[in-house]
Amino acid sequence: MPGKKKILIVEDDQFLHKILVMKVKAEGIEPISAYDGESALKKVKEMPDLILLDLILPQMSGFEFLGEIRMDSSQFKNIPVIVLSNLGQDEDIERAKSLGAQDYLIKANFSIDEVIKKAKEWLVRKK
Amino acid sequence: MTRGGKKKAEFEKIKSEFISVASHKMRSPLSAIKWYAESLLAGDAGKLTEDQKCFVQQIFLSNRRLINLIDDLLRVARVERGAIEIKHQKVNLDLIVREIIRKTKNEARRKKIKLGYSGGKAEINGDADKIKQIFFNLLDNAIKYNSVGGKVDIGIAKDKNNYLCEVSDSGIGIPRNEQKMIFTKFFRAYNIVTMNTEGNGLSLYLAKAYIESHGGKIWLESAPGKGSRFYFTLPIKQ
Repeated sequence: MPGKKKILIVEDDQFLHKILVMKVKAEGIEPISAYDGESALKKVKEMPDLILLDLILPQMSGFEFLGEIRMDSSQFKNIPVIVLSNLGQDEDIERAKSLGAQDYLIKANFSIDEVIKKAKEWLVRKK
Repeated sequence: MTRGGKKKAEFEKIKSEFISVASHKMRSPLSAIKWYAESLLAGDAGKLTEDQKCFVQQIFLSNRRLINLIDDLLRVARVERGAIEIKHQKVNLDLIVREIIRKTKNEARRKKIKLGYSGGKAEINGDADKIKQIFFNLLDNAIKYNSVGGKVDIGIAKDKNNYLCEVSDSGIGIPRNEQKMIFTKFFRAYNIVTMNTEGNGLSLYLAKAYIESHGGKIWLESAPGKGSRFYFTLPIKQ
């Protein structure tokens, strides 16, 4: 549907993934699903407006994915990324931000509605 | 180090790493329970009956306890690995205390506890996140182990090289023969079983570790039925 925003959800936990998809759809946003870093690299070609990115992923970690899409030559380098992870050490947060993540949310500390609210804020900012 | 000492150190390291890995792995399913419980309470799967709401709230609260326990276990694991990193930042203690009071005021209100604070601008060189944790742990305990209608006071005063901080409450107090143990892991004084409270016995251990990492000290005065006064120092310059 022209004009409909898209969010790429990169999360390997099926339960977390399912509820994120449900909540994103309920906001009238189109979810794009990836369950590991490598398939995320394929799906990002659909040019989402925002990426919700887990860090501990099979095949390729969220850090590696972020490094790939933030390369100077990448056509995806300006897509905002919110990291959604349960890694909470300062060094993880600093590493993700230095790799180009706009925001970092620790899943266990945020409600699902707070996550969706942050996503919508970044979608508006991107406009 | 003796051979026995080396073995013990190695065991502690493996134990600490196990706790870190297990805790990280547990956070994902706990996050899922949290989000689904929130979604049910928000009516995303249809309107709940009052009983159903009550059940789901219990799931949510128990899950939150587990998440808090795992967060504390991860912090303890870092303390035991000697991996506490103290950031050197300009920290305004006054702003931190006001933030923590805001965070805890709902629970204080629920128990009709009067929160008092006397302090002004107080700047030190330290780690803001760890200092917030110190104040939170002490204030949370002061409210938790207090009776309905009780009082909690927080004070900050300056002496030559330190700020002296105090968190006092009119709660159940700590028996004298247990006061030495109160800062050890998983210890909860025997008299708290009379209160319907939750706690994992780690908050004072962590507060002490963070205070000492800043070069400060913590001590208390308390008696059963007479409340507790926790005092700690934070050096102005590390």
